[in-house]
Amino acid sequence: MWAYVLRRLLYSIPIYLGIILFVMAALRVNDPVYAYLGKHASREQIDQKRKTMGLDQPFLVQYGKFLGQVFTLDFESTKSWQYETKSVGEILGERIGPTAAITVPALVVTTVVSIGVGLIAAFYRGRLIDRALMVLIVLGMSVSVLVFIIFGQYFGANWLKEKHGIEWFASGGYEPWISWGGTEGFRVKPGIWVYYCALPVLIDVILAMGYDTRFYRAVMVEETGRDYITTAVAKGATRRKVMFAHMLKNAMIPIITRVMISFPFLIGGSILLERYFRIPGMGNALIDSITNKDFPVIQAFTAVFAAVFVLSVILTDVLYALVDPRVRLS
Amino acid sequence: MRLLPERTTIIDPRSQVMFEGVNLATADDATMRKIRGDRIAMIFQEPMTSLNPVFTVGWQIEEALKYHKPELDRAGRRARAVEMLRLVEIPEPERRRGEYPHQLSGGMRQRVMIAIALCCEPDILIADEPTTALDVTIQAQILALMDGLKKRLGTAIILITHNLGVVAQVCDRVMVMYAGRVIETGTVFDIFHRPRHPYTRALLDSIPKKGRKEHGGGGKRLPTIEGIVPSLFDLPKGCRFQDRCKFRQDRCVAEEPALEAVGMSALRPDIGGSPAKASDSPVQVRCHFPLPSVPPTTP
Ligand code: SF4
Repeated sequence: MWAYVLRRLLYSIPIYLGIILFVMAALRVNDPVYAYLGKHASREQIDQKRKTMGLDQPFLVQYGKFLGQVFTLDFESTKSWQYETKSVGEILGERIGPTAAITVPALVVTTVVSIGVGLIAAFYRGRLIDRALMVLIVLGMSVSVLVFIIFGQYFGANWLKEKHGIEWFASGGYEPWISWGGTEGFRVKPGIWVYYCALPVLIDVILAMGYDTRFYRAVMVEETGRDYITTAVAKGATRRKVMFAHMLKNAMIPIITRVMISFPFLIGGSILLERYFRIPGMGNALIDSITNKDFPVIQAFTAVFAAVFVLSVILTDVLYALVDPRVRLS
Repeated sequence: MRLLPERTTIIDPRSQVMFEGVNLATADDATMRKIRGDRIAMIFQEPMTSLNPVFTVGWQIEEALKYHKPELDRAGRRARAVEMLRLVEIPEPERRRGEYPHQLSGGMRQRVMIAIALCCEPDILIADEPTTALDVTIQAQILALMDGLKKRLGTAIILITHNLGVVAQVCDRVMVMYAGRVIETGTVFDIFHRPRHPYTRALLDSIPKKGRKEHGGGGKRLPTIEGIVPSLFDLPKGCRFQDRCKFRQDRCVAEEPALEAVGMSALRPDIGGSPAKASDSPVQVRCHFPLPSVPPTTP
């Protein structure tokens, strides 16, 4: 298997090189230095900026240098433009944490709940419980995210606090909830996580569930009609055993596909949620750097995001082979 | 077995499927689960899709044991699975136990299905067209295997098939069905040598026979039954075979015949000429005008 992974990694290098080439070219169509400094900047300032970024060198040299940085994971040497003291690497480092604190729980909860609801709906398909679940799900999906955010912030945070004195949820902001080093050593503070992250996670789950549940339901409906399900029932299997052993294991391929599609967004984050809940995550950082024309940060973000994407495709294939004996990695 | 989805299946409330005093048509889920796989097992037409592709064949045999033989521990179940694989004549059972269905051929898979079905030593094995999807040589092997196991384990087999050759080869008693009704029942000998129902007769006439000239080359065409089976949603009022019957009369259209005994089963020369008791195997026919009890004349 490792040989397969290695080969896939090697094969994806050209793809990745292509992506980077495209990204770098696209970012240079309009002069980034000019865009950042504005039209009142002097010739010297522009030349100066261009030099520090190496933008004065031929494109191929820049390409080679940037690839070198990406493959050695060296993001420390490039400084951000908008925060002159911080390197791109530092920004990436401090932004991934908050994003993951939202996206990872959201993905896990959405997947588990959606599969459960999908199974139940598929099993009782056409009956009241199936219809009721589907109506709820579609309703949740059809309401705009902004409505959820406003209602969530108003009722979840303000209304609870003002009227009932309950201060469980914040209407925005973020504080680290895992700490290590220092005097306390490694520490997890779940209270802080709930305070800042529970509301955005909840909203994320409600929104994503609409698509996921209907997808999983369709997968499961297809599974219930399989011959081997009849065989399992003929063996005397209980309903639960049929659902959770026979159907679920066979449904793993579509489930993995679905989950892995959202995998890159674990680090990309949800721009809207981070924006409205003022969470200093990747989505927020990306928007900031775009509005502020922070060229080095944009370039590095895109490279990292593309890398995660390529890796997740390989990971998907490996997972396929793990759950389905018919898939062989060779 | 009540395997079809309940929502789309209608069981006439008057119907009964009796098994050891329990009416399977109305039994509750828990009772059915205890019977399925343990007392009555089933194998299906499509060995390619009837096994779960993501579990090893050993797991799938052991699963049935887990439900019905709680006294066996893991090692016991494993030993039993290997034993069953050996019983259905799969070579290298220890190794095959850990393989997945896609690594086996169709015939092998049907053998595994038989192993699953028989691992709890059921009283009845329902085989729903078990050889239809297989090559002729494999068909013969599977039939021989089932025949052997029937004798060895004392399991009664209900074989559902379109293949009259298979019936003649392995069955004792035959029920001929048409459009959802049993239209004739009797011993194999009765059915094949003196069919009493026009449908059975027509069916037998449409088998190509050695020495006849119908198929291949010139000569007459193979006789067929004109028309098609009526749709089950739009059944005629009287006899269900009326549209295609050569012997139809007015009464056939007016009322549906009941399944009635038509005289004693004949001597059975195949088992040494001992007379079968009338209550044992009466020939029953659902027809107002059963054919005379003489062998069909071969033209
Ligand atoms: S009842 Fe009449 S129509 Fe039906 S099979 Fe007998 S003879 Fe033919």
